[in-house]
Amino acid sequence: MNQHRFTDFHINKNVQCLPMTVMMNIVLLRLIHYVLALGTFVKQCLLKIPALPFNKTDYSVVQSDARQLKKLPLHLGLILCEKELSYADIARTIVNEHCLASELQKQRGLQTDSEKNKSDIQINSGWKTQEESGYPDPDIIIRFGSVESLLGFMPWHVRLTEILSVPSHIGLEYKAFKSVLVNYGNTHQRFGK
Amino acid sequence: MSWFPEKRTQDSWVHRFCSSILKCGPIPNHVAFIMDGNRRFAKKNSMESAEGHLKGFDKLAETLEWCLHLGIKEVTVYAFSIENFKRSRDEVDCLMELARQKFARLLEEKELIQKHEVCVRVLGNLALLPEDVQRTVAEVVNLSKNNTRAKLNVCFSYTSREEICTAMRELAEGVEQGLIRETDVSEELLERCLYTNQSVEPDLLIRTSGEVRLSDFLLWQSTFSVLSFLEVLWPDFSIWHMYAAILHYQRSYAGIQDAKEENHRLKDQLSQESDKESILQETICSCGDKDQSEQCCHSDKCDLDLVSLRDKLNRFVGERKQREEEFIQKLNQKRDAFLENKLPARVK
Repeated sequence: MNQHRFTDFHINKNVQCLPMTVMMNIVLLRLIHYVLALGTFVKQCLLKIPALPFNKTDYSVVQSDARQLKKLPLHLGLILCEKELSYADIARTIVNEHCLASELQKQRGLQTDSEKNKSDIQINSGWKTQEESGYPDPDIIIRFGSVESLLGFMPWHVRLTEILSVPSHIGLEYKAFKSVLVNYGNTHQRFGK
Repeated sequence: MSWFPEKRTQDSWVHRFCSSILKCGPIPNHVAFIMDGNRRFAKKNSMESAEGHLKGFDKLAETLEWCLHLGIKEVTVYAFSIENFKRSRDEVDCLMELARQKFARLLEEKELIQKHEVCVRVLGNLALLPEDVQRTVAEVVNLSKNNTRAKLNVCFSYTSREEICTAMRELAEGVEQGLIRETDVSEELLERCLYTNQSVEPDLLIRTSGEVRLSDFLLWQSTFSVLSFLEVLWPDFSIWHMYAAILHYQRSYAGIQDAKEENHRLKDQLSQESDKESILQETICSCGDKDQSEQCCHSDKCDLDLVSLRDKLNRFVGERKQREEEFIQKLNQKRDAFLENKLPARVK
């Protein structure tokens, strides 16, 4: 991993032969990248600070949050692009999503985005409907890690999928996860119109 | 406004300085743009949608100039989706009229195209467009086809799923006509049947206006692209946003290169296994044919020794590659011929 650090970009150039201005520019660019990396690190640390001293999420919090969510994805995709995986945190994310989803279904019997998409796909003949393929296209992808790419995740299916990023899944708090779903709720599909 | 604006941003020392710093790190070879937000820009500034689209075009011309100066050799833009035909009749007509005017303008500026050596390609299901737009597109593509310094791909009447389906259909027809075998069908061959087969994959994909989805744009090709979603509306896109997107690309560069290498290694492995499987099947089949009554395989009867298998494999791979080359050549000729038929008589 990380064999191709972008600083290796200059690996074939003999550094001593480079003019002073170019060397200064290389140093400046590295400095800019270090500052950006520091900014991301600080943002990550801030997200991890619990909002309240006793941050245990109880069911009443889930119930009130479910009332505020505009919409919830039927199919959630996760891209984990980090060196270390924490299965406990992944499991907790999925459980949080499931709790919110069941609460939302209970409260509003809400039609999700994918069901609306189904009628859109059926109009276009030749493309598989939800029933035929067995599951709907992902409504949202949450991408964890520093590499801002889908890295080959279901290319056909992500035609209209919202792609949201979170710096890390490790220690992902309920509040941070909920804010991702709130962002998802604010997205608005126009389907080309 | 012209495709090649006179206002040269790069003449300012600040921009030259920023440019020289960025070029010390990796610069993407191919950038794709989803130019979203023209109508919202128009609404925000109390203009008609048509004017919003015009401003959007001006921004495109400016962006192309920035890319040329940053050393970005190829740019792909999502100008018009097949889904956009669902918009109101007026808006679709207005967009087609804009396309007519802008492609016609490009023809007028042919000296500038040749001076900058830009190859313009229009990708999509062009048969859905009005005839006169198809003719203008054909002229533009024909005019610039031999240029190699820079490439501009305009996705017009395009969706990625339609592109992938078309490629699959071509492959199916190729197998039916015996040009290629069923076992030749692979990810790599499918890629070579897409509209973008003359281009490398985009390194960076930028979408403006705050939307965070691909909307059926380059779904296959952008699997290893860095995605940069910006809040700014397209007509408000500035060179500083461009610089930020490139910094963003540089930050993900290492991870992407590792992932790409791993992917290539896996694809090669799959391809080798598929070839070996085919050879083995062929050899076993031919053994079976020689002697129906006996079970395979005695080494003196069958050619299952390693050396001859290796030779067979090399020969098989060579034949497969030749079949694929001829198939792709035929496909490209067919697509070029479609456009050449649209050329007005005076150009032919």
